[in-house]
Amino acid sequence: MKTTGCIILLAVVAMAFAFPAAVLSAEKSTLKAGIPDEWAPWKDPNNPNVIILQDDKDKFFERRERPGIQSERRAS
Amino acid sequence: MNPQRYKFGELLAGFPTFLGAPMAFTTEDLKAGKVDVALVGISIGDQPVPGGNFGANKMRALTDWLAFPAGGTNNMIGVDYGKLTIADYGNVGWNFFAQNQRNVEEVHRVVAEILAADTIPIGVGGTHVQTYGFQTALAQKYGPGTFVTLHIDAHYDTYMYGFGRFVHNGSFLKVAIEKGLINGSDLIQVGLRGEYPDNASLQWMREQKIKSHYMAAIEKKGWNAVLKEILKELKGRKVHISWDMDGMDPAAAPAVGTQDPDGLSAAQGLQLLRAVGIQNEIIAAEFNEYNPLLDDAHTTTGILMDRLIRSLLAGVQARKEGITDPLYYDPERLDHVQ
Repeated sequence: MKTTGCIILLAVVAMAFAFPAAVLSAEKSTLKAGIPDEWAPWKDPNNPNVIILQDDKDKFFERRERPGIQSERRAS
Repeated sequence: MNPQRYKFGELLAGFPTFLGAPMAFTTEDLKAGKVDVALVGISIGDQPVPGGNFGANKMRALTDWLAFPAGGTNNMIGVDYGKLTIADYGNVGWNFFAQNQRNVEEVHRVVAEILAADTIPIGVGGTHVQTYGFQTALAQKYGPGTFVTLHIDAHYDTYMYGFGRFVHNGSFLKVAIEKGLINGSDLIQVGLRGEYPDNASLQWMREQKIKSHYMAAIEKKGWNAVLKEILKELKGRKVHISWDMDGMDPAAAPAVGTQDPDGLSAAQGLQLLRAVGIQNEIIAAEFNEYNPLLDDAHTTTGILMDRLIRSLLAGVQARKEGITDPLYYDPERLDHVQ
């Protein structure tokens, strides 16, 4: 048990070095010549570290009100 | 740099590259080598059944020894496409930690590098979302709304819903039209079938004047009639080809993650590419959605994709040689004239 505990502790310490806590950067990407902003609706020019999501982001996991009704696609 | 050790040309004797072609890594390489066509591997994955990521590298190592490195005579039109200068441009990176819209940006960058050398980029492997990166790079070079996207697919890919994401495997063409990269009337689709589109999407597609050639039309009118309609719609235009392997019948191309029975035959696919290559200026092409993890031991789907690319190249070379009839056949190969 003691050996196992030591191994786990060592692994945790190693992981901490391998994957240090994320540092959020507010800088724009340094890579050149990407897709221009006007053709990239997922980009926010004022917040270069953010990827914008569409308003229907939760639609995929919406529940039916009661079992047995047709899905929206089928009903159309 | 030529990866082939022997002059005779045997695909299994050199380092594996697309079609056994020499390698190039930069725009300067392409310019120095006066490369006509750069085959670029795409490893981006966006499918419900994973595996398209491995398509590009598998295409360099098919279970295939009946083709010559970067050349050969097309036995429909008697043209040697080895007269084109063809290069393998390596793969576009795929950051599998990242959201795929960021990966599409890298597709854009690498395609733009190839276009900067006035070389035709041909994407090999990956998944259909990459088309958006091709379209943005093409719109940047040629101008938005100046080219046609010929889209071969079982599915319409102008899905109304993004589920949070703007550009994904089923919505990229809708965003491309909304952003003006292509006009709706400049999207020509072939092979649509299955359970989609729904009525709401169909209405939107009609409003955009998208030209969709369903399998229903091919069944009703016959392939030859539909092929002539497609060629008429394409005439005189710059063409970007976006070829989803699930547009083919699963009997010919089983190794896709989204099979739909009753697609294009191998003969119809090969003829369409040859004909468009002869008739039109090809500015880019991509062949995607090949999932080698689902292929058989003889890499049947991979070999078909290889031959589709070779058929397009034969058409491109035929056009260079002055052949103008997209339905041209080599008379020497139509009859056993003694």
